Amino acid sequence: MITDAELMLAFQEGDEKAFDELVNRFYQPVLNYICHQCMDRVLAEDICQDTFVKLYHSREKYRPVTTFKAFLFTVARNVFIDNYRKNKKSKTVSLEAVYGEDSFLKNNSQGYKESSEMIDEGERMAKIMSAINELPEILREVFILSEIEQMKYSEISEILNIPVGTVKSRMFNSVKMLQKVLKGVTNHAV
Amino acid sequence: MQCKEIECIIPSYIKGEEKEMLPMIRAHLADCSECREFEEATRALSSEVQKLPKIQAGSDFLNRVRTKIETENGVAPFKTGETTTRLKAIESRSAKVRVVSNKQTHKESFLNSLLDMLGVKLKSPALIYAVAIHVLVLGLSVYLYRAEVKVSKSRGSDAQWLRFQAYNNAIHSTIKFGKIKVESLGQKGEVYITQTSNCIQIQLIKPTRGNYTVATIENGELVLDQSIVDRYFDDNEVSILVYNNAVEVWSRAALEKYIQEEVSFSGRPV
Repeated sequence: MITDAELMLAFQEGDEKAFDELVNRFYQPVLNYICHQCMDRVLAEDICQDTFVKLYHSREKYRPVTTFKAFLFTVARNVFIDNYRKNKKSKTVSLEAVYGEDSFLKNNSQGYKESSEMIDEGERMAKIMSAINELPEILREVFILSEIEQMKYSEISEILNIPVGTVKSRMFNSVKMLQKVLKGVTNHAV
Repeated sequence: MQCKEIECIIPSYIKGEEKEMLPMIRAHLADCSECREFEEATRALSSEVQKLPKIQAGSDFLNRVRTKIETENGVAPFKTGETTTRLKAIESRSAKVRVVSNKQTHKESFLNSLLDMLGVKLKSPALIYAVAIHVLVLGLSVYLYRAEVKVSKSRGSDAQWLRFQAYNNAIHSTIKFGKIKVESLGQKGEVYITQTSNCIQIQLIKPTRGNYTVATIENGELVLDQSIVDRYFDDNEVSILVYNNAVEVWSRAALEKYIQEEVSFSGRPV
């Protein structure tokens, strides 16, 4: 399989199909990342589209010294900052705002036969999302990239332009804060 | 190690990023119930977070991105195979000249056609239709002119971007006995060098792919292999571009040539 970096280099050489393939590979994780940052699915889709438009126009800036994923998420983060931080964000978190109406129940009905169980699970998920959303911004973005996007600390370090040691300490602080806030919500909390 | 030190690295230990510390962490966890409890709680939290459903994009996401690109540009995106590599200022200048000549051709064609029509004395409805068609043609030519200028602007972005970096962010230095002072790489240690056609790129983190060589930093100076010095740095004058994750070292002459600028290289913002 062609690697992401090879696709990006092909796109730099003018291969438009390589760009399409990159969009198909990465729109889901980018959307997921942005949506957890702004907690608004509609806005996140707009920002996600803008991310790929920006990638299209700044293709020449990519250098294979860094992983493509880190490069793309750096673009996504910058677009997010440009588009979103100007406006005061809403602190209200609802599953519908993030996943769209009914999508949560449709996507997660397996394993929850009783409707009350489904509602409990939904409430629990909303509490977890809300707790993540309440983290200070510098902790939240590290936590999202690490735990939701499953990125390595070295990649997070590249995207946020901070040392790996700082990534570690921010992760520790975010985990500590979440455990405190989610006491009794997750299956095991200190 | 103290409990506090262990707790700090437990999230990274769970992610499998503490391979060197593994025996020490495991030994501590075997003896310390508090840290073990923190570890279990962190694993539980991580597991819960990973259960959060993935957000689904609406259908046709790619098409919507494509439409947005076309709408923003006012033109169709580049076609497959169209040259977009390392476009230089000279290319956009020639593109403009080419478009201007096209525009003139359309204008001349319009005037010639109008004179032809008057010569054969067409009846007025036919003349109106003909004029309308030519106005449309002229409008289209202006539209294409504007569109192509936009394309040429976007094509020149790499050279513009690199020029901006070179003028605003470059650090100028000299090579002495194969050594260059690069402060952003620290005082001591190993770095990884990737050779490109124009410059060398230096990273502190080992690249996951591609060819690279290992070099050392001694007293804040990058020690280069003689073969690299011979290949890239004839004149001993170098420009250092510092990015978020890497450093590029160019021969000043090569950088100047690359950005196709005839301005002398003062190193000051222009």
